Amino acid sequence: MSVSRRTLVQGAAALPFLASPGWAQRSAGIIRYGLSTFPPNLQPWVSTGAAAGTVKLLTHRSLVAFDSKGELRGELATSWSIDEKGAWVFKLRNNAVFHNGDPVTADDVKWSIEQIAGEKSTAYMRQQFQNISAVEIVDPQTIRLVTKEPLATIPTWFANYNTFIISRKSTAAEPIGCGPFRISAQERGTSIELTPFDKFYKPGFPKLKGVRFVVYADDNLRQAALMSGDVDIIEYVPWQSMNAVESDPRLRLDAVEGPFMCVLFNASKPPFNDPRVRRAVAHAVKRDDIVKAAFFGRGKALEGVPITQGTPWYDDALAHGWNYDPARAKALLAEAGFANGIQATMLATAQYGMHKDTAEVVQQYLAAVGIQCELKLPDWPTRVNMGGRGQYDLAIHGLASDSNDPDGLTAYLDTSLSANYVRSFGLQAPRTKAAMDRGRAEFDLAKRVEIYKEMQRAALEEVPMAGLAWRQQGFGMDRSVKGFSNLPGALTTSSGGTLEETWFG
Amino acid sequence: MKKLWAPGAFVALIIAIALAAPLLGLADPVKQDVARRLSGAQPGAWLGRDEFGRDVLSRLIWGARMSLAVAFSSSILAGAAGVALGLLGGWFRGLGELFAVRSMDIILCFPPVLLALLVVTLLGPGAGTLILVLSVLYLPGFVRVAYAETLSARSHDYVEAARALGAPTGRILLRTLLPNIAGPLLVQFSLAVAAAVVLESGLSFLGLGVVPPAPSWGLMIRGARATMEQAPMLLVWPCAALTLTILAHAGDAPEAAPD
Amino acid sequence: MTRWLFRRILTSLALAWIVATIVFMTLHLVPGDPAELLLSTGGAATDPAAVAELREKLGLERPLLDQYLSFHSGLTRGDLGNSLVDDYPVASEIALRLPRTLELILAGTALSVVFGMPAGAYAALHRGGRFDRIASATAAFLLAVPVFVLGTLLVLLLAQTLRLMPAGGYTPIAQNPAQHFTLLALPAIAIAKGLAAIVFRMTRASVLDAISRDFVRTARAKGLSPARVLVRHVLRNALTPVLTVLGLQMGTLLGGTVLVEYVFNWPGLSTPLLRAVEARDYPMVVGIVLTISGLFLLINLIMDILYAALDPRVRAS
Repeated sequence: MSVSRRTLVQGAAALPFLASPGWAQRSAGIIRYGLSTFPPNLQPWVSTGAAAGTVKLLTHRSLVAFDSKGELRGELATSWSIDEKGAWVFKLRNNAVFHNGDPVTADDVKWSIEQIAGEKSTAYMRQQFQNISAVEIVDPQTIRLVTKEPLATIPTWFANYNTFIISRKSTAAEPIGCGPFRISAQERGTSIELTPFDKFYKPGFPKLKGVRFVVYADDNLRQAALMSGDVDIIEYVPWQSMNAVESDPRLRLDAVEGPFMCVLFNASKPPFNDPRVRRAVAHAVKRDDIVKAAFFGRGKALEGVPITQGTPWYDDALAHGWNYDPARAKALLAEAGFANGIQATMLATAQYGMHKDTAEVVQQYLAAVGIQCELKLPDWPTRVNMGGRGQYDLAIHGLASDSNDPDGLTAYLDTSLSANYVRSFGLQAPRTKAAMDRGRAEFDLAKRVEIYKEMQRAALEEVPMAGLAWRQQGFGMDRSVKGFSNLPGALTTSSGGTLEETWFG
Repeated sequence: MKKLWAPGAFVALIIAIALAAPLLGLADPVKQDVARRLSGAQPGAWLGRDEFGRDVLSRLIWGARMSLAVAFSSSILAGAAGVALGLLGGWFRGLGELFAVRSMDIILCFPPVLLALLVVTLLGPGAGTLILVLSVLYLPGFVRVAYAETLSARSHDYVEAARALGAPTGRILLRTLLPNIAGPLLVQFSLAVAAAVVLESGLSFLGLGVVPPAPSWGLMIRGARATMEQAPMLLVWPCAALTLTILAHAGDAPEAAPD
Repeated sequence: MTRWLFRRILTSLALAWIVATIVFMTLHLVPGDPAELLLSTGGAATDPAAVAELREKLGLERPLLDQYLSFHSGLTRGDLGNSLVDDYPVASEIALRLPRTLELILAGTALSVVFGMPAGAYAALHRGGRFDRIASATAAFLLAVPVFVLGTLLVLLLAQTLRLMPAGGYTPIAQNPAQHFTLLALPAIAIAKGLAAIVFRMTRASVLDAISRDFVRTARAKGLSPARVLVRHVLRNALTPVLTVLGLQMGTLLGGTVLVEYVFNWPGLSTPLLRAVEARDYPMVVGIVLTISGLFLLINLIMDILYAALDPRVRAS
C-alpha cells in the first residue's frame, strides 16, 4: 500500500489538533511576523538594533516618520520649516494622546529632546543633539529648535527609530509612548504581542487587530515557517530562498537594495596608510563574484561610494570609480613600492555567513594581485573589539547608511571621529570630511548635489572605505498581506513601521 | 579476529587517502571559480563544485585530512591523559580519586559549546585550538570509564592474585589491569574519534572551528546547508564521508571479548 | 552512607562554585564590553560618552573584586542579579527556560533508552547476524549526520512539504497539550538520534563483555535458565558503563542543546546562554552556568547512588 502525499495531507487536515493554530489567529486580523532576532531591550532612545526598531516604531511616535516612499511625513508634527533666524519650527498636532490617556504636549517634546541630549544620556542621537542649543516653546502647539550651526538634516533625525517623543511621566522601566500599538504580552527571547491603541490620532488606523512577533533565528526555519503558513510575513528572507518566495503563487517578495558590504582599512601604519595601496585593493576585486557567491545574485556590485542610484547625488561615472582592473591594482602597488606583494591580516567574523563569504572572495582576488591575506574570523564581540582598537590590516564589514541622504554616511566615512569598528582606523581623508561638513550645512539642493559629487571624487582618491557590493534586504509575505512596504534604500530597516497601514485583503 | 579485518582495513584506507592527498593530483581545494558555482558532476570536477565554485572532491579529501587529524589527535591526547588519571584514581582511591574524578566534574559541568566558545575566544580559532577544545571535552569520558572499570576490576581474582604474588603496583596497573579493561576503553576511543569528527562539524557550523578557506567536512556541511534546495548533493557528500568514517569505527568495536 | 552522601553534596556545591568563578573570570578576560556591544547592535556607531555613561549605570566601572563579591552577596539572598541588557531578573529567565530544556532532555533520553538498549542487547546476543549489521550501520549513520542537517531535513519534509506540523516553536502544555507534544516530538528525536546510537553501542559492547565472564558460566553451570542469567547477571553488569555514559551525556546535554534549540526554535536554556555570552551579559551567563552545573552534579550524584545500588563491590570498597 503506498501512501501518497495527497492522502497524508488530507489525513492531517482531518486531525484538528495537528492544524496550525495560526489559522485561527489569521482570521482574527492578527498578523504573525517572523523576526530574525529578539530585541535586546526596548528603551526608546537607546540604539539596540533593527528588531527593536521595528517594535518601537509601532509603540512609539516621533515628530515625523518615513512614508512608504522614504519621504518624510508629519506624525506628531503637522508641519516644519526654518524661520528667518535659521531655527527649525515644528507645528504640533493637538489630538495626539499617550497610552496612559494624557495628551501629547509641547512640554513632552521639549522634555524628550532634552533627555536625549542630556549629560547622562546613553541615547543614540546624543552627540547630534548637542547641536541643539535650545528648545523653545513658542505656544502649546509650536516648538522652536535653535541650533549652534545651520543644519539641513534635523527633520530626518526625528524619523530615526531611536528618537521618539515619550511622556515626561515615563520612568526608565516604563516608557509611555503614543504609537498605534501597545505591548500586551512578551516572552523574553521568543515573542512579543501588540494590541491596537484605541485612541491613536489617525482614525481608522491601525487596521490590524494585533501583531504577534515570533523570533526565528535560523534562516532555514524562518523560511520554512513562511512557506508552511506558520507566519504571514518574515523579515530578512535568506538570499538563497528569495527565488523560492518569488515563484510561490501564495507569496510575495518585497526586496530593496540598501545595505552594503565594504572594506575598512587600518591606516595608522604601512602599507594601508598609503591611499594608492587602498585604491589598489579597491580595483583588485571582481565584485560580481561577491554578489553571486555570498548573495546568490541578490545584489549589485558597488564600485564607488555607496550613493543610491536614483537619488539626485548619484553620478554614473563616479559610481564606477573603483572598477575591476587588476592590472591597474598591480601598477598602483608597484608605484607605492610594493611590487613584491604584501602580507596582511583580514578581519571578519565566522558568525555571519555573509561576512565570511565576502571575505573569502576578497581574499582570493587580493591574492591574485599579490596581497596575501590571512583571514581572522573571531566571534562577533571580539571582532567588534578588535575593530575598534585597530587590531587588523583590512576588515570586511557590512552596514547600511543612516538614511538615503548622503549625510547618513557620516558615521562611516568621517574617519576623524573617535575610533570605532564601523569605520576605518587612523585614516586621514580630509577632503572627504570637508565635503561632508559643507553638505550638512547647505540647504539648497542644487548646491548640495555638487558638494556631494565633490565628496565622491575625494573619496575615490582618499578611500576612507572601499565599497564592495550592495545586498538586497527582503520581506517575504503572504499575498493577503496588503499595505506593508519595504522602505527604499537604507531605510529598509525602518519598514516595520508600515505595519500601521497593513491589513489582510 | 577475522571480523576486525574489514573495518580495520577500511579505516586504514581512509587514513591512507587522507595522508596521500598532496600526491593525488587533486584540484586546488581553495581556488574559487564563482562563474561555475553549484555545477554538478563533470570531468575535471567529479563531484561538482561548491557555492564558491571550488572542487568538491578535492575539498572532501583535503577535508578528510583536516577532520581526521583533529579527531585522532584530540582522542589520543584525551585517551592517554584520561586513562592515566582514571587508572590512578580507581586504584589508589582517596586523594587520587578526588583529583581524578572530581576535577573532571568541573569540565563536565561546563556546557560544551560554552567551553568551546570561551577557549576559541581566548586563543583564537583554528585547528590547534580545536584539538585542545576536543581533548578537554573528551578527557572526562576516558577518565570516567577507566575509573569505573578499574573499580570493578580491582577486586577480581586475577588482580588479587597479582597482588598476592607481590607484583609492583605499576606492573599490576599496566600488565594486568589495563588489558582487562581495554574493552570498554577501546569503544570509548572509537566513540571519541567519531564524536570529535561530528563535533567539529557542529563547531564549524557555529563559526568556532577550522578557519576558512581551509576545507573541513564541517565547513562543507555548513555551506551546503544554505544551498540545500539548489544543490542537495553538496550536502550528501560530506555527510556520506562522515557516516563511512563512523561506520568504520563502529566496526572497530572489539568483537573479541577479553579473556 | 550518610557521611558519604554529605561529603558528596559539599563537594558538589564547591565544584559548582568553582565553575561559576572560572566562567566569571574568563568572561572578563576575553575581549568585549557589554555596554559597547549593546549600543552597537545592528551595526550602529557608538558614542564613547554614551558607552562610558552606560558602563557607569551598569556598575561595570567598579573593580572586578567588587563586582565578584556583590554577586556572592546577592547569591546568599537567593538573588542571581539582573541581565545587563534589559534588566530582566536572571532567576526568572532560568525558571522559565530550564523546565523546557529538562523536558527535552528527558524525552530524548527516554527515547534513546527505549530504542537503544534492547537493540544493543539483541545485537550482542546475535552477534554478527543481520540485525546486528543493520543496527550498527544505522547507529553509525545516526551518529554521523549532524543534528542541524537531520533536523532541518525533518522540518523541510514534515512541516514545509507535508504540512503535518508547524515549523518549530513551542506551545505550553496548558494551552494545547496535543500541539505541545507534537512540537516536542522532532526535537526529542533529534536529541535521541545520537544518544540512541551511543546507548546501543555501549549496551552491545557491555553485554558482549559480560556474556563471556566467569560468573555467567558459573550461573549457567548452576543450571539457571538463559533468561534469568541474562537479566540478573549479564544486564546488571552491563548497566554500569551504560549508566556512566548516560549520566555523562545527560549532564552535557543540559548546556548542549543549543543546536537543537536553534534548528527547531525550542525555547530552552542553551539559547539565552549563548546570547548572553555574545552580549557579555555577565550576570546572565554566570547564573545559567551555576544552575546547569548544579543540576549536572545532582544528576551525577543520583547516578553514583545507582552504581552503589547495582554493584555491591562498589559499596564494599
